Amino acid sequence: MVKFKFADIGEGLTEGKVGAINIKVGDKVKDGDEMFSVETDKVNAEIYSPCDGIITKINMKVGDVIYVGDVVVEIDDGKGDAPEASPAPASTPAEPVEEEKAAGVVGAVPISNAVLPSRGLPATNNNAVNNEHILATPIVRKMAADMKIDLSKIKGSGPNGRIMKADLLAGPTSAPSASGPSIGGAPITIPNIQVSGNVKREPMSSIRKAIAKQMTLAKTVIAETTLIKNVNVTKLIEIRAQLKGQAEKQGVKLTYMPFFMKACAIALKEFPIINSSYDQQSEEIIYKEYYNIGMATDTANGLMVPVVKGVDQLNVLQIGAVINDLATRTRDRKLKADEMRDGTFTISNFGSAGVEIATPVINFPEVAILGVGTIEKKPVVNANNEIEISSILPLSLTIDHRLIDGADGGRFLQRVSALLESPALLLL
Amino acid sequence: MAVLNNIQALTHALDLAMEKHQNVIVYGEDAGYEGGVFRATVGLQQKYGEERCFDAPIAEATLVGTAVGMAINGLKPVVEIQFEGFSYPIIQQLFTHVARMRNRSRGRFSCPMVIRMPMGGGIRALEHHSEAMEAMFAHNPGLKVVIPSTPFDTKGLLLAAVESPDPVLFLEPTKIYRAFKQDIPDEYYTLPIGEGYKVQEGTDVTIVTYGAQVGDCEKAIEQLKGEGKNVSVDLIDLRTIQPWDREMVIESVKKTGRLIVVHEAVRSFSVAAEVIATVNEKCFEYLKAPCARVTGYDIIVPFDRGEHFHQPSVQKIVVKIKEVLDYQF
Repeated sequence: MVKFKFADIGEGLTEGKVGAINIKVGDKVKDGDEMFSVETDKVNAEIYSPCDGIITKINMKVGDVIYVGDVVVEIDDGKGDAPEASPAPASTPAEPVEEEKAAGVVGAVPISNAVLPSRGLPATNNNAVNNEHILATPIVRKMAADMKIDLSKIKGSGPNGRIMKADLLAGPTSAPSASGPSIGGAPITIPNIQVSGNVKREPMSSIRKAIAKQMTLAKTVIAETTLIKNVNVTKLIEIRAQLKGQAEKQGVKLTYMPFFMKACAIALKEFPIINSSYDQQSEEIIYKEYYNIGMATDTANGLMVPVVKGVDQLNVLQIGAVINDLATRTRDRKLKADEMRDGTFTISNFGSAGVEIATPVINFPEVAILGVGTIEKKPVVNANNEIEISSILPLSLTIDHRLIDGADGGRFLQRVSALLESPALLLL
Repeated sequence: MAVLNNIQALTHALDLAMEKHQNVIVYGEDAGYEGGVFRATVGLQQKYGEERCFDAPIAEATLVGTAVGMAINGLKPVVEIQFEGFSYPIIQQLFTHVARMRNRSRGRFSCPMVIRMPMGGGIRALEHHSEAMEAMFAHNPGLKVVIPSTPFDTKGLLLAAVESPDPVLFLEPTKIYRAFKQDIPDEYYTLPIGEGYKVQEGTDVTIVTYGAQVGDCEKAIEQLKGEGKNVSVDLIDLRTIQPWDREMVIESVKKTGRLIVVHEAVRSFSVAAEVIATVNEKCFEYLKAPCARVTGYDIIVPFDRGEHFHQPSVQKIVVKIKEVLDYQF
């Protein structure tokens, strides 16, 4: 009997979806006959019989997801099972020993002169418990088996590191594993990197590591989608030019960022879902009634996100002052840890790097991020069907699609655009 | 060192006990002149005289009742009951007096005695000759219950029982009385009551057993090896049922994550039930498979022709080991 297991058909595949099944129980197959096909992310692969024989069992249906290692087909190759235990041999009649014959007064006491190995006098042996073993209740083990999760890859959140049911359900959210994220509970093995030619290796800085971790988390957990809209900011440019000198007198270098933040704060109040978080464990949405907006800031050491707290309570000039302060201290690496915490929304200004449109990555556990591109003068058809030159700002809004529908994201973006197109509203 | 079987080890131990402790009195039905139904006390009357080793009337209740009087007056009776199935008449004395003497006298008296009896089946005996009711005795607070599996243990545990300040039921698996021999030391030694013995170390599954089934489990492990299945078994011989070696079993199950208990006594309310319940309480989170048991059934032990169906055979143990190891967790 051959138990045919679904094997990795290349590129570290862990699972596949069953396409067509060409066999049924009772069919005769020959070595190399096509048995079924599997769709993977990359290919549609035909799977062939490994031997001649008769199909005795098919453990899948069309559309099933099968995992590497699953026994999917059983084929009787005529060689039978691994030998089952044979019945216990009848106890060999012990050699009778003359002087012991009289012993069996009642019944038939077996008599033998066979000698057992000696037993020693008791030694105090204190075998230490092997702590390598994973702590999990049998039910969790059962669940993990059903979900095809390797428990050794999960970090338990229970007492003494016990793996809880929630750890399995949360996947990498509550239990990030060293080996990386998982798909459908199956951990992804990150392959070793093969290089040829001269290379230089240097250890990652702790900031880089933190960024990598945060980005992996965001990209693994969040179902992201990005919405893009061009905004006519001609009036915004005018207003900023007017206010710039005034601001400078108060010691504030007025950039566009305070206007963007103010517009977002106003829109976030109107669209609370954009200012929320997703509690996956309790399946609840956490609406935040405070508006702390982070600004992704390029530094020599890597991206950092200082947070302007209570943006809705500040006017544009005040926001500008806070931004100046934070930006300076960010570049000087003098930020305090809590000045990078508790953000509810983030703005990433990649326009300063000359980029128009991008797909910014959400700063988990936030659910949206606004990307601001380069302002460029472009010909625009105005309300009177005339072509005029306007200043156009491309906005890229990435949303967590698990929580926010495209239309909601669109309405939020529309509202931010309207505020930036009529910047007087921001000054009210 | 002498190579002795279990009966010879018993006789040897009783001899040493009577020699060392002048208050030891050995008696039972035919225990004096004949040397007992299985000849465990043979030669003792000749050596120590009729006052220290004698035949008792066929009246089990009286045998133990008399022992109560002896024990509280400083003697150390070692009573032989011919078969465990004949022990029911002694229950009144045993449960109401022997087991609770220490408690009811608030510690002023204990009732130290050894009650020896052959136990278990597999010898094609008559009714009441094959009982394995160790759980019934173990269930009763105040009694120690010992079941040896080898001549070495038989000697060491019997001498420990004689030295015990509390009453000990010493149950001797009839099937292995003469089934094999073992090198045992000539000198007087004791083995602690309450400690198990690790017959072999392993990592895949813990098997807890005692008495005649220790050998059956060893044979089952050998059979699996013969089939090419290299099963690594942590095999524990409990040696004493009450108290039993919880620590050894728990430590082992924490290592292996799997447990099988094997005994010939009936299944319900059994030693297996107690061991499995304790493992559930103490190391539940380590379990990779449901705890299993290979035991007799909840029936009166069948006669000759059906007896083997009731016994936990090597084959039944083999099947259970495979089942437990194949369980997906």
